[in-house]
Amino acid sequence: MPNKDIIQELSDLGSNLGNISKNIYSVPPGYFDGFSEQLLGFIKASETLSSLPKEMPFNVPAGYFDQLDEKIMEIIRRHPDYQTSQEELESISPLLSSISKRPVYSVPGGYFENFTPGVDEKRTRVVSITARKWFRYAVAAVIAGVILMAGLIAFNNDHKDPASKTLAKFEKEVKKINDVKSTENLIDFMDAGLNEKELARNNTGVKIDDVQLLLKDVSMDELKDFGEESKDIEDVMMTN
Amino acid sequence: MKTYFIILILFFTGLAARAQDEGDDKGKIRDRMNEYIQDRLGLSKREAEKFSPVFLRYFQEFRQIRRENRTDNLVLKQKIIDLRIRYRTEFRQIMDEPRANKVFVYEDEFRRKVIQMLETRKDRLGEKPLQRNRSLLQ
Repeated sequence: MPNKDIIQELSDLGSNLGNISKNIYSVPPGYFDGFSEQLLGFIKASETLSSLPKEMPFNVPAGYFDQLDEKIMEIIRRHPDYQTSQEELESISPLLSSISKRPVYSVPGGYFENFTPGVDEKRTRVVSITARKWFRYAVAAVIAGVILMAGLIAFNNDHKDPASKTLAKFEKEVKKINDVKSTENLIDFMDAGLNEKELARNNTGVKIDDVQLLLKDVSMDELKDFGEESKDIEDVMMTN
Repeated sequence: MKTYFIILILFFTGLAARAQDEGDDKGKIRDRMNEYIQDRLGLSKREAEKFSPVFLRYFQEFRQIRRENRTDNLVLKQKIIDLRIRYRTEFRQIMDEPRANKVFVYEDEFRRKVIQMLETRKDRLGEKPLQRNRSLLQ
């Protein structure tokens, strides 16, 4: 069923196409039955078509391609601008044309025909790496170096900070007492009245326990430098 | 010959490694002070990330000023105050104003605690107290 909108649109345009209701693209019943026979009969009956030759129009004389390339080359050679490849190369690049054209990768005649792969009969000697004298010395030197460095580091650590070592030992001993349960208590305990100087410091209300813990892995040398620096500017800089 | 060469290489490698360790060690107290101040100010992770590089710059400049003006107390004082005012402005961009104002209070607190800790240790071990820079007392 035709779309009503389309019919309306055709009607609005003033076209009669909208009034056509049946399918105009139709053939009578049985139209295609025997259509091919009818068409062939028509062609055979036509004088114009039956008079055309039956040979293929696209053909060449026999042996046409056998001589074609030679004929083309002959035409080219007869041209006044013709040059051989050697002449053209000489005119374009004299240097390239002067290079010999013989292949450089050549072998004597019959080389591959007479070629037999050579097998080295001599057995390769196996040399153990550990049997080398210098290698044993090198291993010994590495081990000695490691021991030496470890010893040096251990020695320096022992002598680097005797004060902190003593303090750590003291703290360890005192921690065993039940009353002193944490490092904070220990520091309070230790600071509480060893002498007047320390009492005076405690009166400022500033505890050093947290800083002491924070600085436990800082070297004594760095601490001393920093302490001296802070001391130097204490009078100048302390804000409160 | 090869043996001596290897021993020499090992020796110098060890020395270089130790020198590197010592170099790293020199900045520890700076990092600890940074941590201490951050902790005292109660900085958030985001604030701390912004604060650290600024503080490290401040610390380096502080040391440089102290090194260059050791002989003149007044100039040293003035330059450090200028430095702190300049950096206070930077700290105020990282945290609120009251906390930015307290950065130097906690820095001084940290320094004071280190001095006390060192003197306490020395008293216990009978060592000499820390020496002041004589020029500052003049």
